[in-house]
Amino acid sequence: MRRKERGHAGGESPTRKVKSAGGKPALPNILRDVSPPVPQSLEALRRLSRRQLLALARRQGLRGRSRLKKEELLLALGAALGILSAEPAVPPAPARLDREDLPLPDAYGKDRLVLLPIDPYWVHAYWELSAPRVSDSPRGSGEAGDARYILRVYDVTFIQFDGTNARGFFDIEISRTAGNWYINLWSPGKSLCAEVGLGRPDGSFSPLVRSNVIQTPPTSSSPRTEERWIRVEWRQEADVPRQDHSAVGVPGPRPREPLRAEEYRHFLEGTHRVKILQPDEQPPLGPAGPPVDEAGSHFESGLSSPRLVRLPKRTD
Amino acid sequence: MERGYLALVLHAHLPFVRHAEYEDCLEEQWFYEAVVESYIPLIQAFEGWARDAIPFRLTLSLSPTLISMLLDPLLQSRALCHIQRLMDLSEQESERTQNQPEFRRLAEMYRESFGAARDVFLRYDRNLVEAFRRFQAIGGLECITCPATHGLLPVLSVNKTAVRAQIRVGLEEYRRNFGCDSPGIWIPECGYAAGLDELLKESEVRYFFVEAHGLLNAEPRPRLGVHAPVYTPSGVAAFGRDPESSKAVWSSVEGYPGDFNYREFYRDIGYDLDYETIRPYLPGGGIRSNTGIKYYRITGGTDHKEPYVRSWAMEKAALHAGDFMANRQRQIEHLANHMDRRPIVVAPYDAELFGHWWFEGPQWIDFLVRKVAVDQKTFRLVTPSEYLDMYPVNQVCAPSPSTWGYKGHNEVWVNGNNDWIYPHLHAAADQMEELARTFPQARGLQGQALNQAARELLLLQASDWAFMMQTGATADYARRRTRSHLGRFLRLAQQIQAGAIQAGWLAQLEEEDRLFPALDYRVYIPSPEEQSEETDRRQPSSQGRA
Repeated sequence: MRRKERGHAGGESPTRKVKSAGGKPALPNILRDVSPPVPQSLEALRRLSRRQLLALARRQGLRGRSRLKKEELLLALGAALGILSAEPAVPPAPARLDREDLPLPDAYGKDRLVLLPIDPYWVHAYWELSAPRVSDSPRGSGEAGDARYILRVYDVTFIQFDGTNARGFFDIEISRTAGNWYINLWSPGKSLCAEVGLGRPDGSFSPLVRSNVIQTPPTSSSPRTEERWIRVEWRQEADVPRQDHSAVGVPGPRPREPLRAEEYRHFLEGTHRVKILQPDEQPPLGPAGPPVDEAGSHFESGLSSPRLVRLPKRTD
Repeated sequence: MERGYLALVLHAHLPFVRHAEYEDCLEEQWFYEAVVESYIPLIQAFEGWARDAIPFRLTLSLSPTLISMLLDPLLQSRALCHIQRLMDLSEQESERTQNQPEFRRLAEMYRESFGAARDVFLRYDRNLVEAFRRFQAIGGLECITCPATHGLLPVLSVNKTAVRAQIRVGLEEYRRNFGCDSPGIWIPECGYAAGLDELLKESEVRYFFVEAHGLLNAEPRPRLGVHAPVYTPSGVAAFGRDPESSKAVWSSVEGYPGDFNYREFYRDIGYDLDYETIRPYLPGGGIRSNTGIKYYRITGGTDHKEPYVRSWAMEKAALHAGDFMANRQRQIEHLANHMDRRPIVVAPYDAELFGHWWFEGPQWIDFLVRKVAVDQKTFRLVTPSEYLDMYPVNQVCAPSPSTWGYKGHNEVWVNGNNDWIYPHLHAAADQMEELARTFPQARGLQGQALNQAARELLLLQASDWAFMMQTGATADYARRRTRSHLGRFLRLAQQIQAGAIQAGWLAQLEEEDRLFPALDYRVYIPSPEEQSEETDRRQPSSQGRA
């Protein structure tokens, strides 16, 4: 549901809508008379049980009432009875506020530089430098004010980068507070790594933080045409214990012939019995494999997973 | 004997937009629209094939967030109400249009189709996952999973554990719901980056899909192009998307969906009707939005629209299905002459394209599958695992970084509108790993809080938010969701570290962000080798540090 812009007015807040009692014909008086009086304040409503509220909601003709929780019922009834004015005047329940309003940090207090590849010619870099490290760094270089912040981008294609062995680099002068940068490249298909550091007038560079290594995509097919072919046999056996804590190792049902008419009827009823192949009766691979044998163990297609397979014991 | 194969792949995904806290939420409508307009019509097509003994093979990827919503009892009952409301509306429309035969016919058509949708929905007891499971069990459908919340893996891969968790939770959810291993995986947005295949291998994934240039620019150059899978260096199979068949369906200009006889998406009675008439049927207390009832055909390139004529549109859908099939026949014959094996053409589409955006899409696919089965012998439909069973020997190539987004790379998800989220996403993923390492044996409330923190992190990582921030209309909602999940995550992390977990608040989060019930936060603990590797990597650089 992406790729095209949606046509409707999205982006509005998920607005709560309380259906009012409008349109529903009033109940006959005789019924109304035997019912308890309608509470006239929210507090009075709150004292009622959910069952009583439901009864009240039925009298008010509130739709969808049985799905509502007590608090929601209260609000809906309040609106229907005119105790509360209708939405959106009703403020959302306070407990919900945090859905939007938890404060987000501006910084995480850790030095960090990250490269994100965008396309063959663009890379996004963002960084966070905690202030103390920065004021420490120009130490020994005389005037701290001389140093400038530099984003140094290294070409590390086919290299295990150790800080000194890059094929080349280029510098971008940045400000520490800019926080991010879009780097334009002139050559695709590279491995890149970057450092943010302090550059001094004498040309020296003190890195403060190093980034991850990324690969930018190539823009054309590879000149390398050598070929290596391998065979990968997929495990067909059930109940292979796994190393991780999830343990089922069962291949999915195999393709089979189309259903016959009476099978389809059972299918719709959810009672169709489908065969699952056992490990020792896999059909030979290849397009000309024989049709699936009808004998064998069965499971009901309508059943949920646990009954379909035998779960091995956890290995952890 | 056939000369080649077509693999139709539908990718069904919606972000997790369950809002139990609101009676009537605009964003939840996306889910109902997709159910009524896409998933149910597709199921109706599947049913038709099963009934008429048409052999079919279709691959359907279902994102774990979508599955969570399809299985949610509240959303199920709300979806039923939604269908009921549409039936009421179409009833009202039948009356309103009784003196306008061309609209009356359409109102009747909608009334019938909503009724049929309700029947399908109830036939599977409101549980459409059950429907897909059954079609998988009879061998027509190959359902596959996708990473937990559809995170764009290349931009998450700054944290290896975050990517691993996305993959593992997705696979685990599939296992829980389908009772077997996912035959393959759909990587969100076909987003591939070097090294991703190792994480897929580690989780025993058999195959995934990449965009065409991901294979064409692979290293070394694959001899068979996109018309055979390759194995990545770690041995996972990668199938490449066929550009020709994609364009025919995707492109809104040259592609089939832009045909002038097809239904116009942007003329919905939710906008066209006079406000008081339509208001009771609008969500969010009367916000004008799509209802799904639309009366016009595309007509032409201008704003002038003529009424929709169903029979003409069906004619066109059949023609287009025939055209698509004939083109695949020619393509496959041509390819087969140049290859030492039978080629595979992989045609992946968003499932929601069919029915929701392209109203006639489900009928097109219905016609296509029927025609392929009975009208020709050049090719047949396969699923990727069937093809791998036939051809277990493949060339080894490393796919190049790529996505199926605009311009083929990450620009849609990393740009000036959304780049602010990444420092938070990466820092939160770091924190999660840290928490999992610090509390590897948490139980009780602490364990619950850690699991919920993992859920909030996963929800935060959905690629949908970055996408929506980019496209304007829903940007505000996406920003709010990002802030909300991040805020919740950070606060949980704080409480876990301080040992002061607010049980009431946690319960509220568990209720609202209610998915992946079997999630175990320990999926974020890196293996011991990785932990030592990481300390090596994080050594400060040798030069210049005083």
